[in-house]
Amino acid sequence: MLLTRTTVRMWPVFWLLSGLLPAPVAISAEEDSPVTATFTGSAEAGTGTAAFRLGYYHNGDSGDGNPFLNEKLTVVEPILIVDYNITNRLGIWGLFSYDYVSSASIERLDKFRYQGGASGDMNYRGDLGLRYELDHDLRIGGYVNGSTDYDYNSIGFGGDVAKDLANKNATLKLAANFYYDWLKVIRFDGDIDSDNDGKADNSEDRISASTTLSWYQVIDQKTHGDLGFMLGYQDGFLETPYNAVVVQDSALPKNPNLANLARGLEYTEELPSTRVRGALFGKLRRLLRPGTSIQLGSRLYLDSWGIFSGSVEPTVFQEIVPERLTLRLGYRFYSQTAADDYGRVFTALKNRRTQDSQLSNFASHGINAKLSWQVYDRLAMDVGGAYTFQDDGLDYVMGSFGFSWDFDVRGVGP
Amino acid sequence: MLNHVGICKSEERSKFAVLRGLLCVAILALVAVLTGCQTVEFYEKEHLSDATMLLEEDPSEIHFLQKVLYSREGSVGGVGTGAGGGCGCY
Repeated sequence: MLLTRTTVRMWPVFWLLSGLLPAPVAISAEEDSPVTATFTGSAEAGTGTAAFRLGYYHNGDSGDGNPFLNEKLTVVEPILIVDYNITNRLGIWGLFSYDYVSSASIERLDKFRYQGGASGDMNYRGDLGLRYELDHDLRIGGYVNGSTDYDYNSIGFGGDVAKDLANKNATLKLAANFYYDWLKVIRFDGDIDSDNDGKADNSEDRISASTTLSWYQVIDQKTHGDLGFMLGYQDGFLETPYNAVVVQDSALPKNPNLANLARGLEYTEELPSTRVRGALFGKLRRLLRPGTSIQLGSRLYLDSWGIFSGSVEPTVFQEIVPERLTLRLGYRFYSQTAADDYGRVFTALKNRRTQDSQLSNFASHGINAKLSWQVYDRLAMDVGGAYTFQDDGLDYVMGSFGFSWDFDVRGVGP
Repeated sequence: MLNHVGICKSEERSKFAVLRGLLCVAILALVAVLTGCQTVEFYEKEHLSDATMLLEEDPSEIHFLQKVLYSREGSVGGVGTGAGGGCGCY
């Protein structure tokens, strides 16, 4: 049953993937993860990089946002990435991450036998990828990944192809990825048996596919940038299982399950089962003088749920100690319109409904900084942080500490 | 007319019009920039290889940033790749 539904849902994915591929390069060269194309170390066989990062995220709840819910959240995430050059042309990489999530929604659900673990209170993820240089100006890559927590599982795969053009003054890259997620649905009240058949069998699934076409361009001797277009498609269960929508009724007594003790009843969140998402994004960076550069990044986004967003992100990069210490300072403005089915307050039950703050209209101003230290030739460390002021009161802070070590195993062994 | 969010429909429409306008400006600006590109030979790329000019970002940082932004905002794209999926996202 599950497979049949999934197969039927696949056709837009094939259309999405095949329609954008420039014929001869195609199919074998889809995808991309955040990791595949980003290592910049030596491509000599026997060398590689090991990188570790510890990320921290926290948002409080000032009482704005969703008034019925305490949206306080803290996440700690260690991430380990190892990248190794098997030959001068073939590389392999792996990523492992673990999320520890502590949130008000989890605390709230602790009183039930089952809690909304889709909030990912302990989530493990692993990726394994390969990349290969077909020619001096043509590269391909691919990966598989999986992630799991006790009620949420995901598998994915993807690939990318990159072609250098115009004497390496430009690079055209096509990437695509695909995810299949399945989850045990645990509702806001701990319900895991919505059809009341006596079995804890609430389960749902979804597919997500996306393709990204990007273009890197050297503008002049001191300026370069890139531009990309992403098209995504999702089909299946797209709600957040533990999200509730409160329909207020002044005739009812105060509801002790609600953060503001409002008079009302909670209902499940209901959203469309498909979502098409598109984004146009790019950045331009210019060297002002040796050791100082500026960048302007921007993104426009539109989806079939009615969200339209834009962001602008100016950043300054300054070398403090040549080849040793670099500072990055940035600002990010972001604004989005609300999804069609979003409501902050409901007084009547609608077929489609959400009070998820993520789908509301809001704007944010974020400032960020990062200090990178090249300790010695093979070891680099960095520390960074960001604070974002959001006009719905859900300000958040994040910080991270990372280090990377370039290793060389040539000549090691028998 | 007010919708359930309490926002005037015409206000929403004008917001969309502004964003559509921004999109057009972005595309026109890009076309102008790309058509004005110079051919830079490899021996002229010294400035582009300055330590502050590397466009590629740390993959572990991108991984974390993507998860934070994609779980806080209703939009995706431009940070790593992907359009949802693969994570319970808090």
